[in-house]
Amino acid sequence: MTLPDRSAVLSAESIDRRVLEEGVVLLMRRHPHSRSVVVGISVASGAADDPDDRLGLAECTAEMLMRGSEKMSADVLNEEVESVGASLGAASGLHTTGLTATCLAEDFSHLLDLIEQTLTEPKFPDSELEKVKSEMLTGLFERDHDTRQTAVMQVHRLAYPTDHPYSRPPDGFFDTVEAITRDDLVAHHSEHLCRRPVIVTVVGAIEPDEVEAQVRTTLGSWVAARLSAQNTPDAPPLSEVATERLVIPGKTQSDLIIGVPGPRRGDDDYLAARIGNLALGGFGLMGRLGKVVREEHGLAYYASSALNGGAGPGLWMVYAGVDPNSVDQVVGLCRSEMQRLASEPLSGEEMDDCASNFTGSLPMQLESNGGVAQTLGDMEWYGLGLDYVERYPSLIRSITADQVMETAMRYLGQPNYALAIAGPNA
Amino acid sequence: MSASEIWDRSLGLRRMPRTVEVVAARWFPRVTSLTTDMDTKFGGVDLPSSPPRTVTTLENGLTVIVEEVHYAPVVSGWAWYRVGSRNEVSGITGASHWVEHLLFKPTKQFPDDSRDRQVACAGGVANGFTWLDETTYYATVPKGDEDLLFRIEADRLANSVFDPEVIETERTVIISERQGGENQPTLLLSEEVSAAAFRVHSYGHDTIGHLCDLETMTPDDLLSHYNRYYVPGNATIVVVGDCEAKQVLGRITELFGQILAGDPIPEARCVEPPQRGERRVVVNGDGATSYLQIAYHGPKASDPDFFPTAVACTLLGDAGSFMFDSRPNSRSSRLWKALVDGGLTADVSVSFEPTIDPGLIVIGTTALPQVSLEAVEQSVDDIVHDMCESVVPAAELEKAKKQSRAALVLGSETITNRALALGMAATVASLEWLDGYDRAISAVTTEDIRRVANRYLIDDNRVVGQYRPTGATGGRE
Repeated sequence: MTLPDRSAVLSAESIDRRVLEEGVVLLMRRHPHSRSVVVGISVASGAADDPDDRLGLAECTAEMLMRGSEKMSADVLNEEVESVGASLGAASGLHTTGLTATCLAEDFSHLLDLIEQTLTEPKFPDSELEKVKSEMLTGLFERDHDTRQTAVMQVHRLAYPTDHPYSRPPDGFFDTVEAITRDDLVAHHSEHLCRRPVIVTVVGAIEPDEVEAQVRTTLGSWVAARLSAQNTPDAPPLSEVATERLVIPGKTQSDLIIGVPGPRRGDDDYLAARIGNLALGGFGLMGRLGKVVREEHGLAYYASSALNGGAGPGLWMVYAGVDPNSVDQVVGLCRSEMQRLASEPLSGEEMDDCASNFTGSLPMQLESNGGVAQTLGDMEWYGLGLDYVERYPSLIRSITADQVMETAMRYLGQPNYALAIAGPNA
Repeated sequence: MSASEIWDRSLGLRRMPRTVEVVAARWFPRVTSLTTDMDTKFGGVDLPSSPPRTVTTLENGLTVIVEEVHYAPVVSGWAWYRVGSRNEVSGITGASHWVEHLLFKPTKQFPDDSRDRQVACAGGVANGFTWLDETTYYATVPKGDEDLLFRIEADRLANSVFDPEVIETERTVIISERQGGENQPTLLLSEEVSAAAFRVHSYGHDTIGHLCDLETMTPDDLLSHYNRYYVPGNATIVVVGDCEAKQVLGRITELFGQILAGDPIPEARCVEPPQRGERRVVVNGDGATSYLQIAYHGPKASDPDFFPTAVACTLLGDAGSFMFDSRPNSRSSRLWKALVDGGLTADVSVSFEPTIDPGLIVIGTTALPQVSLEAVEQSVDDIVHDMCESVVPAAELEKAKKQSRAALVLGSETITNRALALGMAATVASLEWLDGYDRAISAVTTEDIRRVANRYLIDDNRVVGQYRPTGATGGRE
């Protein structure tokens, strides 16, 4: 069975982009050999928009979308989804809130009706709100006794100014979650989810014209002109080395994270940072960090790095899980590798390796309907252009080793950084 | 996915990626092949034909499964070994996992980091894992780079190096991995629950192994474990993707055919005796959150009861998928309605995996603040007892069956997941088991559900585990 090779490249030609209204974009890609359809609806509003005294509101609202509408209780909604073996979920991030559904192709229209129920007319019943808040509070109890989550929260608090949205945990604090009311949900829904830009992605066994007609009919008035997205403020470089060590009793391992505010996804130096990050903590077995900390010294099961730039200046961080007695040694090794990246250009071989990895991995990223939907969303949100995947290899190859080093110097090579450690007493 | 999970995703632990390269042997053993082409029906709808499959056994006993799937320019290659914690006894618990780590270390064919580097340069993803019945290594690469996968796996099977110095370095890495797990209350609890459930069978210890064994195991222990279980007759190579089966088979035969068959594998002899009464375990630990796990002994994958039990688990709270990244909704399940909708717990999960020997059906929940574990347990009991006593409504059964089938179909849409399903089936049951999955699920009746519920989901056949938090809180140093 040899079928046409249609997924080799996500070309601009294979993407169907339609602007339904101001700020409402429908992106589609047909995959005729798939048995399923993935639908994603993403609104440009997330935890970064939460008021300080209602942190957790975006997350709470997303979950409450799944807890019943004016026409359909949560029980009925769940039965309708699961009776066809589909999945439907709502979630929020720092800058987006959305629904994702996966279903067999034959059930697409049915799922779209259910999405309409959850998105446009949520009921937000008080009884469900109390349960969702209890579930969120349980998550906060768990977070406060989890070394990794605690370190993540603390390093963000240290790395960003107190008035920056990234300094705050998106799942909130006990008092801010407790304070959320039904009125908050209604306001958040009408002022954010119904008014901010939205992207609808549909990938799989579909016919684009039919999908557009169904989306227009089903989502109706919800597909209306929208305001622009809110900007996320810049984050200044740190003015000192900010360190926090938290003791969590009963644990056996410490988690440590070193971080600084990094570039945004749309910044000119983002791709250079991505190459640097891959060499530092991603290439092969966790890059240079994995080689030094794990392979050479045997000090950790994992030691790696992550670049989190998106709509805002997300954290560029180095992290490891280590024996409490080895924390200072591992911090030293990590800092040394950060400095090395910022002071020595990658070799020609390393640059080639990283470029090959980025371009070679595209077919895997685009193998599934979900992967294509995710890529389409990123291309639209960050204004990368429909031909981005086609241009990507040459964009990556155009970055020089000096650009990578200079970019690393601007971020990781600075003398100041945030360091958070959470674990037992050494 | 909650916002905190999204935030945390960048820190997601992954099993170590790695991979390889081998010498070609100009020797072609006689092979026996079987090519199949099955149709699949799903939810009353005819689905496209399953891809053509070739199953071959080389003369040295190696099984090779190839499925051609040409809709994406990707190839996934897996090497499965029928060895896991099931094959370990006290003193060498964790040996299978440790050997897995060592099989990512340099060899003559792949010195230094050349294995990882070559896969990474191809843009591929590579990894491995060890579990109860199996140790597996895999990589998914763009079409055209699959030869690298075959060379890596042939080298891994024949030429792995057990350098004492490397073993010592890896000892601390593995202990660190264990310590990371010990930071999680639910893992501490599941370790105790499994130990209580199996007093004879090796499923009773975690795959990571006991700390005392990790501290004392010798290089000889590890090498003899490798020599015993890493032989062609105990392995299955699975290749799925945009490739030509004939070409793949020729190359695999060339690379693997020369490897000696080795001695027959000793069968694991432990048989868990029937449990004759409920067992209870308590773990006291830090934090402020209570967890409950209830584990029932279930049927093995090859038992005809497996499929009705899987549907029963779907009715209770999980669609029973064993695919990567596939966890279908279960909010209309009985336990979700009773526990989460009922305001008692933050979540509920039911896990039941296909295993060579009878494994566990585990219900896991996280109690909401101010809710006692006793209240949660009572609610679980009400639901489970009702399944034993009452007939499941036909419509509810049909929904659960469709969910179970959808989990497998949707979960195996990617090439990597399809290879996972084939390899797992071949290792813990058979390919016929996988091919008959949809049909077997469809055939489950309401009476089957009541029968398996009364056989497995009974109090005398279970372990109840409680994690009781001490309320200890942390602070700044």
